Amino acid sequence: MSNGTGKFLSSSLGKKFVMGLTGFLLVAFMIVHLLENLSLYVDVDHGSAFIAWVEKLHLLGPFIWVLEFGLALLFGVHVWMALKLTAENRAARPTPYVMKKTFGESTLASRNMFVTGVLILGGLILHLIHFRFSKGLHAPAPADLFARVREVLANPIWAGFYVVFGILVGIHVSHGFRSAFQSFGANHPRINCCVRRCSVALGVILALGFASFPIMALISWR
Amino acid sequence: MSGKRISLTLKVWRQESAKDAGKMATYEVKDINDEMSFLEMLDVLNEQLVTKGERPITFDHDCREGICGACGFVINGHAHSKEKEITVCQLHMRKFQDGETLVLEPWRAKAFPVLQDLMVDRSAFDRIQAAGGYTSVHTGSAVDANSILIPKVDADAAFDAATCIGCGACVASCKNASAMLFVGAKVSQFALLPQGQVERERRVKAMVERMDAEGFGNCTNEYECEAACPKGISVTNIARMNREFLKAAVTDQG
Amino acid sequence: MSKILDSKVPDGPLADKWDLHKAGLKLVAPNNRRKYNILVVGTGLAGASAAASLAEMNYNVTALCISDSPRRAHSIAAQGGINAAKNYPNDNDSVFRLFYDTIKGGDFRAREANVYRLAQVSSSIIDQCVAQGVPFAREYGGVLANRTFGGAQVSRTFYARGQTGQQLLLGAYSAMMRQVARGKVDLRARREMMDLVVVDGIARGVIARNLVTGELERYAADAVLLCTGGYGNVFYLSTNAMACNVTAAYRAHKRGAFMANPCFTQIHPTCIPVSGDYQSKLTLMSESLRNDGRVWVPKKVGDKRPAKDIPENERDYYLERKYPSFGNMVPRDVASRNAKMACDEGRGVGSSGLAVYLDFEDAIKRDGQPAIEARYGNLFHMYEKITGENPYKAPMRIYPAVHYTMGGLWVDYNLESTVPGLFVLGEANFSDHGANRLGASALMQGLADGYFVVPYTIPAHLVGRSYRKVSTADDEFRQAETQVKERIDRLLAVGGSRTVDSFHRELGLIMWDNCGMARNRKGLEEALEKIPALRKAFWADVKVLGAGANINTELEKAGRVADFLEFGELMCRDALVREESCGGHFREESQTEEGEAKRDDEKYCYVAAWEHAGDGKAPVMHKEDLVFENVKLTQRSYK
Ligand SMILES: Cc1cc2nc3c(=O)[nH]c(=O)nc-3n(C[C@H](O)[C@H](O)[C@H](O)COP(=O)(O)OP(=O)(O)OC[C@H]3O[C@@H](n4cnc5c(N)ncnc54)[C@H](O)[C@@H]3O)c2cc1C
Ligand code: HEM
Ligand code: FES
Repeated sequence: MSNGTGKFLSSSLGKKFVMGLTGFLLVAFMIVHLLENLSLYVDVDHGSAFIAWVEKLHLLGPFIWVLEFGLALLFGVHVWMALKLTAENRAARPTPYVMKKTFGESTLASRNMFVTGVLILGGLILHLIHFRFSKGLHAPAPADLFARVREVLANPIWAGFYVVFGILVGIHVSHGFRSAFQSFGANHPRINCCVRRCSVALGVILALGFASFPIMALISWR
Repeated sequence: MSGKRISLTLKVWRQESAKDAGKMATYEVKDINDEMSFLEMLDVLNEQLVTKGERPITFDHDCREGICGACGFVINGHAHSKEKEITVCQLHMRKFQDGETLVLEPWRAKAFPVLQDLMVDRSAFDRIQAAGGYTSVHTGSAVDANSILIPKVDADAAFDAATCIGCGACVASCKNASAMLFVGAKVSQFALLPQGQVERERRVKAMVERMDAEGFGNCTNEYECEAACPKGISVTNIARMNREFLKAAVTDQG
Repeated sequence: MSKILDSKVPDGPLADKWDLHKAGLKLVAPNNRRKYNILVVGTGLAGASAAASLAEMNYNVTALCISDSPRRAHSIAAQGGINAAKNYPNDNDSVFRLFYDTIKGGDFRAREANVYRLAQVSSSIIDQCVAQGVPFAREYGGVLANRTFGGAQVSRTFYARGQTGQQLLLGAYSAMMRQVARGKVDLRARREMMDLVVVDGIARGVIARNLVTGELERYAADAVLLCTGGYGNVFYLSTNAMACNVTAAYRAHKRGAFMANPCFTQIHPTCIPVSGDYQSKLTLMSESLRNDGRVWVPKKVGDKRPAKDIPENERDYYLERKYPSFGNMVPRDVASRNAKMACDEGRGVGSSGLAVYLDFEDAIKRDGQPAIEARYGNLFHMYEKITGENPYKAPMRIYPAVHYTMGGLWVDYNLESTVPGLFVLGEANFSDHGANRLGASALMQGLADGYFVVPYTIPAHLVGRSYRKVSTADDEFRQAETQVKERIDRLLAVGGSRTVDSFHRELGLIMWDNCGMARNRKGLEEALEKIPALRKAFWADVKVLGAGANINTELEKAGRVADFLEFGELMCRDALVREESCGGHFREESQTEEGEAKRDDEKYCYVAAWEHAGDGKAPVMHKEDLVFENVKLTQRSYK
């Protein structure tokens, strides 16, 4: 890493840029992931479309490791930057206000990015334990995975957990997506309104989308 | 015209010096003519305090017409005021109700240490300016003013950025105590003008580096700064700074 | 001409004087400049531009300012614009015309050579500021826009919306901050100059108070530049910022610098009137408002009806009545004085009776509200913010307010005071505006002094004289510091019962009533009795709490008010001696039959430069005769 790149990455703006970039890629991943999961609806009882999708993934062979590693790296970098940024932000105001109002475009989502982020991370770890590592280091066979999904989501506690998880992702992204545009410097009256709406819509779609599976499970798989 | 009379309860941050711990103190101000400005109300309270033998409340102020940027503290959780595009010195008592309680606190930021009561040290802004907020033109070496043609829209946009009064309300209102709006405005002014092109990349890198070193926070893109800015400076200036910075990083000469 | 006052105005034709003078001035070689330390006190337009320019040349500069940042100097408040003889609009402007307008506007009480130089360098100022990135207003074609200002017959005013002073100051400030980064300017903010240190008759440094720690600090230098602005706050209420003071200039005066024409103050006609005794300062409304607003008061004395209930035939549009050709557009001093006269007759409006109407009803009827809004929207908005009244519906109420001080420390053509090595720049000196300043010319002067005059003239002192090396450990510094400390201790020790502000307000009233818009012998003599009495009361009964070793804003104010209490007396003396009316100085004894100002060129065509003769002694007046070789002295008439 050249000195310039190092400087860039350690600067406030550089960190924000990396945050936005990894965030964007994570959003892309989440969209693909949602599409994959939507295949559950094709054959609710036997998950044939879902299993077919996963089988196709497995055709990638060792290349899937590369993808998985890349994804882990994305998360890792995003979380690492989040920790650094949040620590710096807290340090920047050691004495809090006795009374502080919020205004501008501050929202529940924007104020709690770190909180939702940490909860997502926690949820993610459980999620990996539930599915990715249910059979040890090697990913379960597609049919086993489907069975595992049925098993976990049929449990009302886990179903509730995944509803919340979906909503948290939605909230996080509802601010994150548009925030990333600003971090990239993409702010222009012609696009702002659209970006703002897309960001909320994306949040809602991700939240509803992911929350819909456990609800479906409660209705159909019990 | 001759105003209504109102009484208020003030809870004010009192702190002897940068080294001391501070605390809130409560004062009753009675029978205030609501034609007064907010600072004049504090003047009246201060004269009463002096007469009683108590140390008056310290706050920065100078022009008292919203242009020097000296004044500023937080009133009930709002930097300057909940009114839009206004500094505390432009705030008048007619905006308050009889019997209201107001909480007055200094700007809170690591980079703006409290000096006394509501007065803080904003010299970090000067150091950021020194890092690159200028064009390196020697006195006497300028070309004829009209030999530099500048499209009116660019000149106007540069003016909108340059109208910053350096009061620090952006930092005070940001949940991360970030100075991005201040720095973004300066970077933008020069990025928009032909005069600023020569040092464009060096400038943005140096100013951001200084800003970071001063201990300001990062931007979460919530735009509280824009809402609090007495001059209504837009966050598009922050976006421009982000672009400038990215461009400068890509074309980095080492 | 007095021997002591050598103006050093060079010989030669007016247009060549500056060039000839420069050619004869000594130089300091670039490599030697770093051997010289220059102290700049005050970092407004004048100070910041000087500090930046000198540091660029490689001098070592130390700069002090009262506020927390140089960017807050009072120059920031200037709204209207800055003049320059660029003649971009092709309306036959020229250096001579700008010179002539300024000399005439100043009622022929300024030095020809200085004013001509000012007009000469005015163009370079605009070039310099544009190169710095000052966002002046522009036309669609990309060229700079100009407007007319203050009744000038050409468009020579450059502006940046209503914030010209701000943008110019930020330009000068940024140039200075560049030198701070280079290590060539040592910037010390929150420092107040408390005294000048003179060694062997030469200015060699200052004592300043660190306003945060309360410590007294000694600064030694090879030359001291005083750029500390005007003293309008002697009137308590003015359009000046709260920290504007006379302390720096007055301390220098007590150390030997002559004070010139202190009574010349400018009272601006269109300000928002005082609304109560808690009022802390006054706000200027641009005088462009008089282009469309009509000034009036009721004809009847004591008519308290709301404006809309007063029928047309019971209104007195007094400016239009008295000055049919100029009407509402008469110069500042005339407009101000007439407002005062109307109010003195008991015809003032508003609860205090100290205001006149500025009415836009006819303009709105004629041009429509949108047109008026486009022209003055921001001013109307500002008026409404402050008064809570809507000027589209009811006429504005305005009243004159103290705005600018033409008087100041006497300087020669090199801007050097009577104390060698002490240069005075900007509003703090007396040099260019005579008895009345034209709009948009103070910014020009401050920047001219700092960018283009002092960098040339300072070597004449640095290498033109021999003086010894000094250090801050020298006796002179120790003594000066001790004196400052004693004075602070005295202030803290009084332990009386009255606040500093109460004294300041009382002084302001005396000054306003007796040395304000109209002056007469009786009033001035009265003031000369009241001020010393007030000063005595101050030192016996002022209450300043706390200690010197911390932030103590009351102590700061007390020191400044103590100096105003001495300086106010000097102003009244100066006004008393000048038994003529000129510019902002209207002596009621010297008026024409129609009640207009009458100048007396026979007797008073001079600069009054006052020498401090010691505490308790009457100051001594020296005269610098004004010689006009290039203009004919005329009486102003606006009938
Ligand atoms: C409301 C208003 C509007 C105006 N509009 C115009 C206009 O449109 N056009 C125009 O040409 N002129 C205008 N003027 C006049 C003009 O702004 C000033 O005359 C000019 O800016 C003065 O500049 P300066 O550098 O001499 O002083 P200032 O800007 O007053 O600077 C003084 C400096 O000295 C420092 N200082 C003061 N005392 C001390 C001390 N004891 N120790 C240390 N530092 C000290 C201060 O901190 C400050 O840095 C206006 C004035 C006012 C009040
Ligand atoms: C599903 C996974 C995630 C997605 C899609 C996602 C997406 C995003 C996006 C798009 C942003 C905006 C970046 C910007 O402002 O430039 C963002 C910001 C943020 N993310 Fe995530 N994120 C995810 C997981 C996490 C996790 C696990 C954390 C962990 C702690 C986290 C913490 C944060 C924080 C703190 C911010 C805000 C930074 C700031 O602006 O101050 N995110 N995220
Ligand atoms: S005092 Fe100058 S902006 Fe408020």
